[in-house]
Parts: sequence; structure tokens; C-alpha cells
Amino acid sequence: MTPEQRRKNRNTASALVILVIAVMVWAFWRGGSLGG
Amino acid sequence: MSSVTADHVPTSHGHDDHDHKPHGWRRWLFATNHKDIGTMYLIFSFCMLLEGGVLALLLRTELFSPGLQFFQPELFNQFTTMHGLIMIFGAIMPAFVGFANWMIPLQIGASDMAFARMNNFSFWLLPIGAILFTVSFFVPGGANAAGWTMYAPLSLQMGPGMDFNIFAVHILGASSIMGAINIIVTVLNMRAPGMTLMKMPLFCWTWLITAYLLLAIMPVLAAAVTMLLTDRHFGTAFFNAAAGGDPVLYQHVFWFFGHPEVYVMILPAFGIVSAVVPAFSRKPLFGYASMVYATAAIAILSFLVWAHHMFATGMPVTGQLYFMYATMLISIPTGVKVFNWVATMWRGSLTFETPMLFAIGFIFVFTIGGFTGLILAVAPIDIAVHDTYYVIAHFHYVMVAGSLFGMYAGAYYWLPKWTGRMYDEKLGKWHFWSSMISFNITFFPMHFLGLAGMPRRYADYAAQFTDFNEIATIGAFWFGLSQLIFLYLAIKAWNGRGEPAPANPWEGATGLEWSVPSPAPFHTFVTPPVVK
Repeated sequence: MTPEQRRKNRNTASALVILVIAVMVWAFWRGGSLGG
Repeated sequence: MSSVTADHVPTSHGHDDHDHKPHGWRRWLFATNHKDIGTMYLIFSFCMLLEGGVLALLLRTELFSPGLQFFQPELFNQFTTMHGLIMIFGAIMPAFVGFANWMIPLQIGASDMAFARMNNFSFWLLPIGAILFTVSFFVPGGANAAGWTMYAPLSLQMGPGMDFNIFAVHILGASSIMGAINIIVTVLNMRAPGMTLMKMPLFCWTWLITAYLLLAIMPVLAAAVTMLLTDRHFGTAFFNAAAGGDPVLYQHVFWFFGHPEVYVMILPAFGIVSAVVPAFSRKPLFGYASMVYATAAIAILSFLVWAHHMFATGMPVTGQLYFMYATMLISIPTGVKVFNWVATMWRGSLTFETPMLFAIGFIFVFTIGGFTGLILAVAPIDIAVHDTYYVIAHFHYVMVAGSLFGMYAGAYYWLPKWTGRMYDEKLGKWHFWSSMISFNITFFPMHFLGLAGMPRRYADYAAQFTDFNEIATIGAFWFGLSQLIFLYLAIKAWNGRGEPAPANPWEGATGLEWSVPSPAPFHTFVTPPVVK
């Protein structure tokens, strides 16, 4: 794998990790505002 | 697509021939090779299938006769719960990740998965989760008995077994998220030159969409069980009605995960069947593009229908109507798929080797499960048969005849590529027919039991349900024993016994995976192939 390919993979993965964190925060926020 | 050709033909002198691999336990503990990790996933998931299967047989043993024979209701409920959790998180999901690990790099012409070390870590989280599930039977109060859905408030009142479950779900969820990220990055960034998205085999497409589904739903499940955990131990009141929380909210959050999860467990099977049916029909897949769009449509719609699992909790009529019609809408893209599989077979040069038998069996029996799903989508009917054996019958038609038969179709199809050996065709056919007949003997009577009002998750039942329960129990033991045929065939092939397999043992199979020798060398596509 070339360094360029590695960088591209890392960037794509970082974007996906941000998506995962955003979904988790959203779920907690809905839980707090609707249930608490 | 779907017949891609490559100008890359590996030979014994070619670049793909070097087969240097680590030996001994280090090869597996520190595995970074996608094929080794795929193999470990598949072995792990089969072990969990056996564990979940044993729990199912214990349930069926108790249910053979009315009254309490062997287990107290508390233990029976632990068995039902852990059977569901182990089958979903331990067997079906990891098995499909095993298929993805083995086949996606081979099908897109990549040398490996994008993140090889993360791949190793995702796998080794699984045994930890499995141990937590299993050990929870032996803690005070026993395992989780609140059902695989872990509904509040029951789950808030359970013993420490529930905490083991929550941690296990966290760990297995983290593993799934890492696996999904790996698959998305691999598919998006590591395809061989010329392998455009619309040339990819359907299996890669279905897994790409499944991986996005996983990323969207696993964090929601993680949040839901974390809120359970904080309600149980840290004084919060998300779901605790006594402290001002809302238990119905848990159901909403859970099913926002839970319904797409059903498609996580079936979309990869659609991909496998879309590979097997054209191969044994000796025709390209009918309607490739519509298959891709239908898969995406199913995934999107799966986020919009979650509350059809909750009709019985009470909701406004407008809500019921919306969730009812939205659920029915899913049958359209699903119907597109079934139509395309049948159209692929239409006027094809069909042969019925074991993978094709399982694929056709899948189409036939999964469609029955789909139809009962449509019936359950109708709110008034759902309220009548909610939490009865009708629901059990429905989702076992989808999960066993759907996911499991799809996996068997794929396992027999690719076993020659994995092991370099052909399986015994006669025994494979015995496996199929024995599984198909015993599956229907087990689960078809459950429709009648449900319609007659037999509730699920009870260790005892009224005497009028006895006959169908006896039939179901006999079928279940027959089905369980039938799976040992596959175990025998798989072990035999992995031990290098049986007829050697050529690079492409199937006359009609196309795709990059068949351009490499059987068994696939340890390193493949080090030089990317060029797809025409």
C-alpha cells in the first residue's frame, strides 16, 4: 500500500468515526430530552 | 456488471505465488491477513451457532410437553434471551463479516483489507463478548432473562447478568463498527483499476450498504444500553418510570437499532444469493442496477419503520397507519430482488449443486417469511398476534431460512476457493434436504400455534397446543443434527481431504475470485489486476 493510499484510507475512516460519534451523541440527546 | 474479466492471470511464476505465512499460534493471534481473519470469523461464528443451537434445543426439550419438565421458568427465560443474543451477535453477524473478509478483497482485486491490524482487533473482541455472554449464566441471579431486546423496566431489575450483557453488547458493537469502517474504506478506496462501483459483484454492494447501516445503528444500540447501565447504577432516569423516565422511549431507541439490524443480517445473504443464482443458471444476473438500487432502498426504508415492533404499546392511529404503510413499502424493493433472481433463472441452463439448492431454498422460504412479515405489518393483526409464536415463526423463516441458508449457499460455493478441495456433493445435498424439511417441520407449525394464541417466552402452555409443540421439537432436533453434516464436510475440506478444486470449479461462475488458484494463495493481488 502506498503512503498516498494509506492517507486516503485514514481520511475516509476519520470521516466515518466522526459519523459514529455524531450518531451516538444524537441518541443520548434524544434519550435525555424525551425520557429524562 | 456482472461478468468482469481481468488481464491479470496469476501463474505459478507470477507475483501471487509467494505464499510466505507465519506458522503456529502467532499466525492466528497476530493475524493480519484477510483470509486468516475471515477463517477465524467463520469458525468462531459456527461455534456460536452450536452454542445458540444447544440453547434452542434445551428450549424445545422443555416445550415438548405442557407443564414444567426440566427447567424452572426463570432459567427458561435465560435460555430464550441468550439464544437470541448469541445467534444474532455471536453467530449471524460475525459469520457475514467472515464472508466479507474472505471475499471482498478477492472480488474487488485488493491485496487485503484497508486496516489489517484493526481487522485483527475487531475479531479478537468477539471471544471476549462471547465469554461475557456465556459466563453470565453463572453469576448470581443468572443470565439476562429480559429477552434479547432488554426492554426496560425488566432489564433495570435484573441481576448482574444484565451488566455482563451490556458490556458484551458494547464490545461486540465496537467490533462491528470497526469491521464496518474497514469494509467501507476497503470497498471505496482499494478497488482494482477498472473495478468501478457498478462493476462490483453484488456481494460487495450489499456489504457496503450493510456497513453503512451498521455505522448508523450500532452507536444507537450502544447509547441505549449505556443509558440502561446508568439507570441501573448511576441514578439516571432515562427509562425508569418511578423516577420520571419513560420505558417506551427505550423501545423506540432499541428498535431504531433493531429493525435495520434485521437487514444487516439479511442484505449480505442477498449478495451471496445474487452470486450463486447466476453461476448455476449460467446467465448474468438479471437487473444488476435495479438490485443495487433495491438494496439501497431497503436500507433507507429500514430506518423509517421501527415502531411497527411497538403497535401493542399504544400509539396514535396516524402513527399506526404511517408505520403500517411504510413497512409494506419495503416489500417493493424486496420483491424486485426476488423477481430478479427468478428472472435470472428463467431460461437459464440450470444445474442444482448444493449452493444452488440452498440459494433456491433461500428464495422460497425467505419469501414465506417476507409474506408473514407483511401480515404482521398490518397493525390490527399485529396487535392480535403480538408476542405469540406467529412472530417466532416469522422471524425464524427470515433469519434461519434467510440468513443461515444464504450463508450455506455461500459456504458451499466458495469452500473450494477457501480450502482447495471439493466437498462431497451427495452429502451436501443431504444437508440441504434434511435442513429444508426439518426447518419447516420445526417452524411451520408455529404459525398455527401463534394464530391459536400461544404466547412466546413461556416455559409452559395449555394442553391444546401440545401436538404442534411435539412436532416442532422433533423437527428442531432433526434440524440440529443435520447441521453436523456441514461440520463434517467443512472439517474434511479444511483438512485437505476430497477432490482437489480447480481455480474455477463452477462452469458459470464469473468474477476476480475465480482467477486466482484454489486454495487462494496467502497473498493475492499484490499487483492489482486491471478489470476490463
